Amino acid sequence: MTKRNFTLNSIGKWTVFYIGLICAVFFFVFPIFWIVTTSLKHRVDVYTEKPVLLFSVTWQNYQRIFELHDFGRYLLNSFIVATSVTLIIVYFGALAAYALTRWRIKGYNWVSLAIISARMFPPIALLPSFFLFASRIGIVDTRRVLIFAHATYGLPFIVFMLAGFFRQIPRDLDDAALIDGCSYFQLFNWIILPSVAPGLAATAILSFIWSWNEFLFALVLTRASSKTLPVVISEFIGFVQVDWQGLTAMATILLLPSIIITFAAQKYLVRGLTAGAVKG
Amino acid sequence: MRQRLPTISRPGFLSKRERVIKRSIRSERLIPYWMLAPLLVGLAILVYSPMIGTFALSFLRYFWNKPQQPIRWAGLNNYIDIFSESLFWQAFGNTIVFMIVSTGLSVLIGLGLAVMFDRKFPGKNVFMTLILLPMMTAPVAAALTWKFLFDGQWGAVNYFVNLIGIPNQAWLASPKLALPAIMVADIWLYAPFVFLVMFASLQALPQEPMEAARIDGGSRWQIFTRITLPLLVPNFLLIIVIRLMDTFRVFDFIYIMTNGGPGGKTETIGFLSYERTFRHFNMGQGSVIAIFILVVVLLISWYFIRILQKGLLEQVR
Repeated sequence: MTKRNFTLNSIGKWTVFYIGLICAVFFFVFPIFWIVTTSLKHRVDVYTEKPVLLFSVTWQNYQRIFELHDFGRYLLNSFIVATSVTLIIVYFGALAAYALTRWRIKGYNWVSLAIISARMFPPIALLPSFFLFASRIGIVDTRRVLIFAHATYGLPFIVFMLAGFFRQIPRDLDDAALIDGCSYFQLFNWIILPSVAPGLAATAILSFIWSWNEFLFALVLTRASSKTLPVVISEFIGFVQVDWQGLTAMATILLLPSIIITFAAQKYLVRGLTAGAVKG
Repeated sequence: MRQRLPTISRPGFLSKRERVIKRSIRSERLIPYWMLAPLLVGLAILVYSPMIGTFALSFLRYFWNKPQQPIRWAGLNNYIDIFSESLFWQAFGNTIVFMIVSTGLSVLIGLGLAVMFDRKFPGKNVFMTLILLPMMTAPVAAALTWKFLFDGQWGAVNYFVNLIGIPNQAWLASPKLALPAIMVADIWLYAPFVFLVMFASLQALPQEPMEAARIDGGSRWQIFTRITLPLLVPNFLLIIVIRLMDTFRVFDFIYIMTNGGPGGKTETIGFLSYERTFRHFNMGQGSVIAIFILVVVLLISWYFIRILQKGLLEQVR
């Protein structure tokens, strides 16, 4: 008798638990599901009173944004910027993190303070004079200026993250290579970097996503030819008539890398993302 | 490090070989600085100088769309203008409300989910991945998604609200509902990150104190409130500081979803600074607000900076 009560009770508990869980999942997943499906709908299925769940799939919206709005070019811009930013951040971030974790540096407190507080500065506080300076020397609306801005602003966080990975490589490795006659840069490029490869991969993914997603720098520093996806989308919203089909198609493309990564590399990113927020 | 070669030292005189060794030791000492140089130079040129530049601009009267107009020294006039403007204080109030509600709710939701996931149940990994989906979403895409969901005419939110008997609302055009709608979008985007951090912290907690309490007959709730939560306080503080910092400078959501409207009800200071600088071309006033944001963010993040610095220091040892 008591046994049955116990199981009934626990069934009740688990029901409540799963209802709560499903509500949470619905809240976090439905918006993405909705955007992706809307981008695949015909006009009649988008502008309806009731949300339409069963619809015939069309690629028209994607075709339209690529053909009429030159979306491919901006996609390429975003890709080039994010890739260059990733390469710069990963290499120079690793270099700095290595230096910070292997040597006792004079003025260590100041250096680390300078790096960490740079991460805290809100971009909007840099942008007025950054923009002014960039437009004076005529590099506004180039991919170059955006790459430098993203790379520099993204570096401090990455340095901090990578420092955790470097700490785990034994110093003996360095010493052995140096005794064998490596120069410091050979040591770094051919021995240290490969041995933190997992850390570098996580860092690379985060840097790519950070640059791919970034909006404010891109909005201010690019005008026409070098616009990235977030800027194009923000301009496409318009003021009177909102073209939701085109917009959801663009948003889906913008979402794609982050969704793929969440599914593919979630476990590996957990550690990287929580660096600095979790100790232990 | 590299082994020193034995040398015979005579005071005041160095052999050629000794000179070479001495030089190489000196240049070796410089290596970490060379490795740090790209980062530090980058930060100096692209972060610290613009910062100083913005500070200087805040004392100037300068409209950058009129290059023929002379740049004039304005002293504290920009500061006086901004701080006596009602729109600024309205924006400040909105930002504070947004900051507190968004941070509070996302931390509560994140913690709630973390506690839910702190056990074994079928489908755990799948549920976790699904909840983490929004985490790396571009803010622009998130804002656009919610702008569509909250649309007064075609939005799906109205459909769900109708189900529980509330009539259609023009969410983002309503003075009362616009800011809460933006908060929902913000929470949607950032609560998964809070969840992840809280979950990882829960997993990293030592199990012994809880075990001991359980043996001593403590109830689940007692163990959670008296032991688990106090142990989580440092992680709590960090995530709250991160959230406060990010919500205080909120920009993307405002820009995409409402443009500060209706009637300044969703104007935030981050957005106001952008508007002044890049839409009204008023560099001086825009910079004043930018500096204001910087000061507040640094005040909030001081604790965070110290913790990170300590962490980095530990890694050297």
